[in-house]
Amino acid sequence: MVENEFYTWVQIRNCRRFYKRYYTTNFKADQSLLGLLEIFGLLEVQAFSKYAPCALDAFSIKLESEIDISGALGSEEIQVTILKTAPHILQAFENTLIQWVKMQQQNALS
Amino acid sequence: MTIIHIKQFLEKNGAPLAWLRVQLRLLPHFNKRGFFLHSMNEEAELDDELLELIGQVLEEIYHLKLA
Amino acid sequence: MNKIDARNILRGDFYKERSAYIAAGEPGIFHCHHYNCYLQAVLLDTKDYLPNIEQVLVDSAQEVAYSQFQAFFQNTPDLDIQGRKHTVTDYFRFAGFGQIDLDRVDNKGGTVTTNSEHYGVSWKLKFGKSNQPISFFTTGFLAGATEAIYGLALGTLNAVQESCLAMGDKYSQFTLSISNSDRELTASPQEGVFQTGNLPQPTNTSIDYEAIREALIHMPIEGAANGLIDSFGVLLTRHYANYYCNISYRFLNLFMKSMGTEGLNIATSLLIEGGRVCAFNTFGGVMQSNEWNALIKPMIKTREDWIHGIIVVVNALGWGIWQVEDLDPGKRILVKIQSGYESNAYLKKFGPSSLPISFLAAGGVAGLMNLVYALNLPERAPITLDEAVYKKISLGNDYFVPTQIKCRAMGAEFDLIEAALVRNG
Repeated sequence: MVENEFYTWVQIRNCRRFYKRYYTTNFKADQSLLGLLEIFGLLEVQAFSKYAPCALDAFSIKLESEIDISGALGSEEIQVTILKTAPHILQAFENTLIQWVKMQQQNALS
Repeated sequence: MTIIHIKQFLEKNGAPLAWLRVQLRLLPHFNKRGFFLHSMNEEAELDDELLELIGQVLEEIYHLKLA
Repeated sequence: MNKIDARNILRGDFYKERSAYIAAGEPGIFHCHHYNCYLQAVLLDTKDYLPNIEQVLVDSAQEVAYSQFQAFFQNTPDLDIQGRKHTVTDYFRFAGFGQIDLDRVDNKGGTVTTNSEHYGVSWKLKFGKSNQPISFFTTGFLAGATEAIYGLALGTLNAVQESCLAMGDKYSQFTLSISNSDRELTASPQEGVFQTGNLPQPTNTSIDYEAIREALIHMPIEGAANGLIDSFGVLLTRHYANYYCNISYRFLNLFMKSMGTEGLNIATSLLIEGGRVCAFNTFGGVMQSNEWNALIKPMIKTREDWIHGIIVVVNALGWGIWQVEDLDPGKRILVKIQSGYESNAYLKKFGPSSLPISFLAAGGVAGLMNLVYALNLPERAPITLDEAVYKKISLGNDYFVPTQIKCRAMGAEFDLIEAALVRNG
């Protein structure tokens, strides 16, 4: 596990040259996060909450096989699947996540 | 080299059920030599030809060299 | 640009009273590339003494594809040849088999070339480069589908694979021609001898079975532009239940004819192992997925709820109606299966069996228990699920071994699988 002041992450790999990171922040994902992440690809939302009251709506943002960002509105976890050969995209994602976490931290203070 | 040696080698280096895969692949060769699976004597020495066949299977399926 | 004509599109329906997905009479079930490749590899292990086994793989696909598309085209008589070709290529993509183009195919054969095909891509990923073509399913599929497109009789065409992505070739290429051999191909058993029942809602879990299955069956899981389904860390296919059943049971019949019962235990053990491989990779991937996090994890209160969570996922995969009959945490599970796809197909195609035949189910149940208790995934997730971890479970002190206690194909009312803890060493 890797930790910084904005998030922690744990990394696993699958059998197909992809890494998958599980990021956890102290804040639950909301529409403002989706607004920032949309630049990474095509956004899709699975409205699971309409099937069960405790279920969360899952989102995914995919850019072909470059990156796949997924999470759930109301969850503190975000999963990012990325090709081993695309560290620059991961960096861009992390910068975006940091930006969002900072906004949440400021909101929490005010 | 005996069957026990090979099984021990596979347990350490091979995938689960590797020995079963070898047996399935080489079943007629085992049978030809009187090794019937329901009564296999695991302490019996294997001949060179069979060992070579086993080695080829392990190389192909598991990229392993029998040692 | 042509308008997309919905009549060209073949899709199935999910029948809740049997937890089955049926498309033009063919049951479709989700399986991952690990299972697809492992099962094929085990069958190919016998090719030196069962020389027909490769043809079994091809013929089984040809029969199933032919039956499905023939049924669909009978119900869509207005479709012309182009329309029919579009149906086939679209369904191939939708189901996650890959991307094909039938422009160079006619009623006498032709060639099909692809750089994206499930078996070619998957085999190389899982096992490394092959020294021979391995896309037997696609070979047979192309022949059967083309026969249906042109209204030819089943078995009119033959197909061979000339090059293969799994061999490191840039393309997989398939050549179809009029068959000059006398193969015995038979129509698919389609839905088989199925049962109907209700999705259970056990009282000893907070997992809402109905809600989860409903959510999952409405999830759009289909091939991307490249024709591959990348989900849960695996490459999925919405495959043909009858393909799996044909190849597995024909293999067993050939094996017993050739070898007698000698080694039958080994053959069936390896078929069951396929189920374990499937469980480890697919169930493990599901348990660590975003969908699990969003839909199922909020309901989880106990470790046993993880078991229930996967059981309801299975009900959405089209495998039949699965339910936990009994669960002794960490020690033993009994899973009851109604309308299991293995028994459905076996009974229709072969009649009664003298031995248990629900190999995938047996391996799957044991594999699930291994994930939850032997590996303790609920507390350790997320972790990399690879060959090393798989091996560690198999050699670990605690390991679950399955027994099929009841089998519909042997005359029982339902399939009943037990997985019990065995202490190794």
